[in-house]
Amino acid sequence: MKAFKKYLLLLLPAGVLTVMPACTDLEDVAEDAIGQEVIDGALPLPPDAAAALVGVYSQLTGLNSQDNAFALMEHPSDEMMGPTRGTDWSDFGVWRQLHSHTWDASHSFVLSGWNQLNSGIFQATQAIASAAAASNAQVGAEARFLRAYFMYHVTDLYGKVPFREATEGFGSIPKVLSRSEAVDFIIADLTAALPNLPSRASVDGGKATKEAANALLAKVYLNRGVFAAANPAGPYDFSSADMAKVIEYCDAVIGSGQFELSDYWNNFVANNTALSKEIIFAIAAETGNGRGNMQSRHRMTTHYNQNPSGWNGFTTVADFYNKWSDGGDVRKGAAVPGVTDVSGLRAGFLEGQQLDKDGNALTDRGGNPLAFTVDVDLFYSNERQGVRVIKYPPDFGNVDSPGNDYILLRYADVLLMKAEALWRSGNSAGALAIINEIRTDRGAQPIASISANGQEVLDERGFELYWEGWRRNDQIRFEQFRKAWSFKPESPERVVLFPIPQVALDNNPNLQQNSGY
Amino acid sequence: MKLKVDFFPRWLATALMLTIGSFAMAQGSLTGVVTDAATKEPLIGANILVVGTSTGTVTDVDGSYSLSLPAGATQIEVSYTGYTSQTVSIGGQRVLNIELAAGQVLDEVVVVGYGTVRKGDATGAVVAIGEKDFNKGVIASPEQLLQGRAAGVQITAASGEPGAGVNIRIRGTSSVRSNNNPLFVIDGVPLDGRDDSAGGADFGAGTSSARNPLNFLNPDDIESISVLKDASAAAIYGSRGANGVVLITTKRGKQGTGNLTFSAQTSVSSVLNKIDVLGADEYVDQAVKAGANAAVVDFGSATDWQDEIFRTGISQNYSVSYGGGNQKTLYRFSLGYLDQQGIVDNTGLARLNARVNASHKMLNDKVELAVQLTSTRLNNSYALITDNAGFEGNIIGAALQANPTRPIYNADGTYVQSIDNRNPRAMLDLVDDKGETLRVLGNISATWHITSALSYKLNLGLDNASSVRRTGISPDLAFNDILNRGRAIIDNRYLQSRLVEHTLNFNKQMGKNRLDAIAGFSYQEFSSRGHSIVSQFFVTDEITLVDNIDGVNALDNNTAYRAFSDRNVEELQSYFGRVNYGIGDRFLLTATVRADGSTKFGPNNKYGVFPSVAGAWRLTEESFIPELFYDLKLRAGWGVTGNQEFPGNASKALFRPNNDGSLALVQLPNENIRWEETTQINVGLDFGFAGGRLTGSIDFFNKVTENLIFQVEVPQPAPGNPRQFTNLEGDVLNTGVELSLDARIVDNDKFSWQTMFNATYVKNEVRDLPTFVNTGAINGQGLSGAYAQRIISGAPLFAFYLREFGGFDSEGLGIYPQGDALIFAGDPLPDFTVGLTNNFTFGNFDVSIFLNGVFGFDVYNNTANAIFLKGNLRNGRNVSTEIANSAENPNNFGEASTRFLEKGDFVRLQNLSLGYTFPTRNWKGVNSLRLFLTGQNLLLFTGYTGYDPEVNTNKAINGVPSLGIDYTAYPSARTFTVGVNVGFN
Repeated sequence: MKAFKKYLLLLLPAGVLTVMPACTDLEDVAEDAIGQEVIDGALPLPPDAAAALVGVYSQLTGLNSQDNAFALMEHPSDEMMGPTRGTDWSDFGVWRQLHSHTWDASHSFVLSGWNQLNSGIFQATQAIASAAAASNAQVGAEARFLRAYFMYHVTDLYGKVPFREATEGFGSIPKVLSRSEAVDFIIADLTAALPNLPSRASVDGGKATKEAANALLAKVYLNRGVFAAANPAGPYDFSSADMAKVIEYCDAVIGSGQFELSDYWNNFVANNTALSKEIIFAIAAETGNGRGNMQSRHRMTTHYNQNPSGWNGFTTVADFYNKWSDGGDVRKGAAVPGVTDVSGLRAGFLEGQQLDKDGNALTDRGGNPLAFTVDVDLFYSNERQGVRVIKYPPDFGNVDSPGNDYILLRYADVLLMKAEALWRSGNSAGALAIINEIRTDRGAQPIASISANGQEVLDERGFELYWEGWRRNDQIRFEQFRKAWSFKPESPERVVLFPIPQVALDNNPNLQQNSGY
Repeated sequence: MKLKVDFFPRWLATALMLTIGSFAMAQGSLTGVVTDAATKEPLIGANILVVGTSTGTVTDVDGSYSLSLPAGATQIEVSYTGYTSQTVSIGGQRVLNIELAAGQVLDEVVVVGYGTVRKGDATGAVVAIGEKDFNKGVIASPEQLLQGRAAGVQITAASGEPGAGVNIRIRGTSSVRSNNNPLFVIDGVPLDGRDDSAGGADFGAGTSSARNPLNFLNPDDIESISVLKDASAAAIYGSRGANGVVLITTKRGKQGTGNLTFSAQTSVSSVLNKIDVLGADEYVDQAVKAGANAAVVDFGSATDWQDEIFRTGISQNYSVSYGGGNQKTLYRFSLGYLDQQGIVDNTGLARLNARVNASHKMLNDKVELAVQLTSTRLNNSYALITDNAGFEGNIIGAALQANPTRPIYNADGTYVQSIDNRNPRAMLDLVDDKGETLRVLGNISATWHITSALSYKLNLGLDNASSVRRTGISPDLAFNDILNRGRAIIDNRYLQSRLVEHTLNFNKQMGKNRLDAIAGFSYQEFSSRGHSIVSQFFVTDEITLVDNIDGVNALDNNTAYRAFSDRNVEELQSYFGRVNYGIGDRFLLTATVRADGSTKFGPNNKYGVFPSVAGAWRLTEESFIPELFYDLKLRAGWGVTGNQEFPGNASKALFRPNNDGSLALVQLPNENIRWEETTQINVGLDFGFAGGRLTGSIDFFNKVTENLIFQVEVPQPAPGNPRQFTNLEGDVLNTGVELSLDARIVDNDKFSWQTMFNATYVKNEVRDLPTFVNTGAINGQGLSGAYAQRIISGAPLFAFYLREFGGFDSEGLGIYPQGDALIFAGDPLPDFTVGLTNNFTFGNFDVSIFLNGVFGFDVYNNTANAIFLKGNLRNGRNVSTEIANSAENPNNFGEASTRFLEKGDFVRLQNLSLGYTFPTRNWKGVNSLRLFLTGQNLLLFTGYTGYDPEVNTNKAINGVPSLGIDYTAYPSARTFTVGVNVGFN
């Protein structure tokens, strides 16, 4: 009896424990985000297509900072460099390596540019699928344009594009599109988007439009010879069929009647939204708004003691600067009302003694006269060396939240593409006419002829589109990218493409490194 | 308590006795006095238990007791904490006086997970530190009590700031990304471990470092700390035990009439070492030599900026406690107040805390209730000492580089400051940054002794913290985004964790063998919530900014307000069990297992199982072991523990809206995410000689940590943040040896000398990692994107990978023999850690000297990399005297390289304490009185040129932590404390 009681006493708590409700199923609930389960490894689609599209546009704004993809497009060219000035700008060697073409797969912008552009492709793909699910044709078309835009830059910079479908989960390894496959993909996207895109007449430059799609198609066809070449370093074959397409798409833009050449600097000032009739596609901004902030464009080049104060960095390269022989060309430099009278800062190339708004000479931090020299040293420059470039004058209405739209596709570029296509098709006269139309508008003397290697066409693109992100692409196309210039000897063939970042190679076995790396 | 037989009428007494007796069958009574064998002092509150029954009593204030013996009583067991128990035969006597001998180490009771064990029976590697061995002086939080006292436990403060976060490493660093700190359990309630203080937003000088989540505990309330170092001891905590477990037990009441203690101490702190920068007299000459223009850099004044920001901190600490109890009830109340002033102006920590611990036995001692409750109010005062300020610097950086000829104020009283050249005085005066935290930690438990062998315990715990941080920055401060705007930040954070635990305990002596078993269920829920608002573009600064957050020009500025919020809830559900089996006195076996399920783990891996086995062989019981050995015990254990310190929701795809109107995928899901797993083997030997005069232990351990939780970059195309939580292939290996020795070299009442020594050697290696990750961001001018560390296979964790610096060439320009290639240059993980304590007593005086040494590690001096370059001298900034006199060319750039990697090895006189204990035996009302004088951090011997090599600024990249980088961190202080402890009765 005693033993029974003892066992009962023993069983009681044991019983209590076992019949204890199996308390919780441990389901993880996301309290401060929309959390969705992964079902069968498939990635859930964004819940709202329009909100997803906003995210894709926001991804574009990364292009107006001075690093990442923009640095990859500019610093390796002959128009921009970032010299090390004593204790400033050493930055782990990133700027020096880009300028001297000595980068490798561990360069931080190679990775950040890769991530920046490819994540744009990802978000666009998701937005396209989400729009398709919601049967929203325009959102889908805009997302297609944006995907094509990002993919163009990945193809141009890296030569191959990883791709996954919208619902492919992250357990699968993405396939890789080769350069030509990527070009076909871009063309397919743009062609499919065209019918559903709005016209530039009805929306502002910040939105994807038919005209923007046409301009981008022209760009793709113009570079198709480069993208299709067996050896990325050349030689390139620009087929007449492609050139005809370029002219066709350029004419579609010209024929839309939405654009005409504007005063050069009106394209870049604070209220360029209203003043410029050349903006095809841009990162839109409004003074004080906080969206699309392009102030790095002047901060990255001005000196600390100029107004607005800058980071005292990037300059142009002597070889490029010395091409400017025409003194009347407003693109070389001009005073800008609302800027020069407020702070003394001019637009264009800044050489020599810098002045404040009253004409007094500025000094550097050590008290020396602030006179920018053409001569500059990549490794050991002082504060004053190097000719600076102001492409986007500051917005003195609100320097930190400027209203300048940051241009991604411009009408003058379309004109020059048509000129180049004409020249490549053998029609030098037609090309010359367009070039001289632009030159006259900019206050420069017309040129007489175009040499066999098209030097004038390349040079004109440099004069018109400097510091807008196209120089590297142009130099490669004209097979001048590997030539020597200041602080850069002749480069090996591999530099026409950036290496695939080491991290990307490690996590995607389908990716092969570009040759030479 | 004496049983008083009152003067009843005899007949009533007899009748009562007969009736009572028929149940109790009284056999008579036993009385006596229990005394200390050495001093002959009566022992108050000693326990007398009639063996085999539950009849017992306790000695009174004279040490005497009186018992009614039940029938069949043959022996009594007399015990008293700290003394060796005795079992004495009654043998028909009526008076039995017992003398107890002061207990030896083996009988010490050590707290382990979910129970206690005698030190002599422990099979795992457990270190128990009691109050007498704690560090003394200004101790703001519990882990400082332990620093240097336990082999294998390395404690590094992130900086010298009061309340700063702490790194505690038990047997090496095993985790890459997750918190490497051990699990803290306070009176049986496992703590959340998250930072309970709000705030720390970046407004131009970087983000603040994390605070120490244990700041709320008053160290005076702590009785003992147990550290569970190996897997067999920690596996019972399952998926949280991989980094070891620290069990904190707070003071309980003791039997006896109310005992009042009071302690008060005052401290004076000052900076241990200043950095030698140029003074005003030599500055202009040196700057001109470096190429500066005298007219531009000479301001004509003389300011010692370091003196301007440092002060002598006066701190005070008061503690009062009252406790007592009887056989049934024990209680202790305490109240503590600490006001610690930091050595940098405006910094400090104030804490007010109250605690009650009480226990009560009822229903004939069948049920025992216990409650522990602590409530703390913490006030933190902050200055701009951030982790990742830009080149203009936080307060420390700005003070080091400020031009010494520059005055603090202009003639009109305004501060001399500009965007590029910050004024540290202005940074102190124009920033008001205060935090308040209220934390309550309580638990209630009920134990039901079902039978003498079986008991059931219910434990309920609650940990609740709410904290706010208010930062107001005046629009007069010359910072880029602050000047003419001002800024106010109000940040709130709420943390709560709730615990429900059921355990069943079975203890049975079976002949010579003993079985102790426990089975349990535990459920804990952790929730956190926070929100904050940032206001800027103030209309006026005449109203305190944080009380006027709506006084902003929002119409013209759409960034006038920004707000943030977050919320997270996680749960943990576990089943666990342990069996301890002792075979005679020779063998001890322990086996534990715990199954932990967490909401954090992916649906495919919801539960983890963590087993362990351990055994001990008491060699002293063997005949072949000579008598020389007082104690010789061989221990071996193997176990698996886990680490689940990663954010929740990692298994889900998360979409978050952004302030631009988009809603995008921000986190990539991983349905398979699971815990990190550490498998550890431990072999140890506990030994003792000369009757316990010399004891020690030596342990070998081998820890392998797998399934490392990490955020890997997924292949593109992927969202803007392309990282996904994954369990990596590869592992981290920590192997090493720990040695601890405790020798009572001389031990008599005129003089005694005790030495305690501990040493640890740890070797760390990352193995088989498929990729590598960079971390350790280096900040400063010209250092964007620079990093110094790499997690890579074949190297220790957080290895330094840097450009090689080969000195200066003839022009003073740096030579980099390997160009931009990064090579393995060192590591911040110490190889050897050593602690040596010597305690002396001379009559009533006592002296304690504690030396701490850490060897075999490197520190990256980011402060020197950013500030001490010749080029900065030319630009009008101050540099160290060493750089001013060096051959460096002012045009030289200071890229991150081995030039700034220094050896951090140091020896520190951590603690020197003198005390006098008054002979209070015959004093009325006072039972103890001690005066003491303590010096902390008195001497530092090191080759490191920064403030202190024991530093860890947070330089994480993409969530991967860093280690051993010093960037203008808060310096450490030298502190002198004088105090008094009094006990009344």
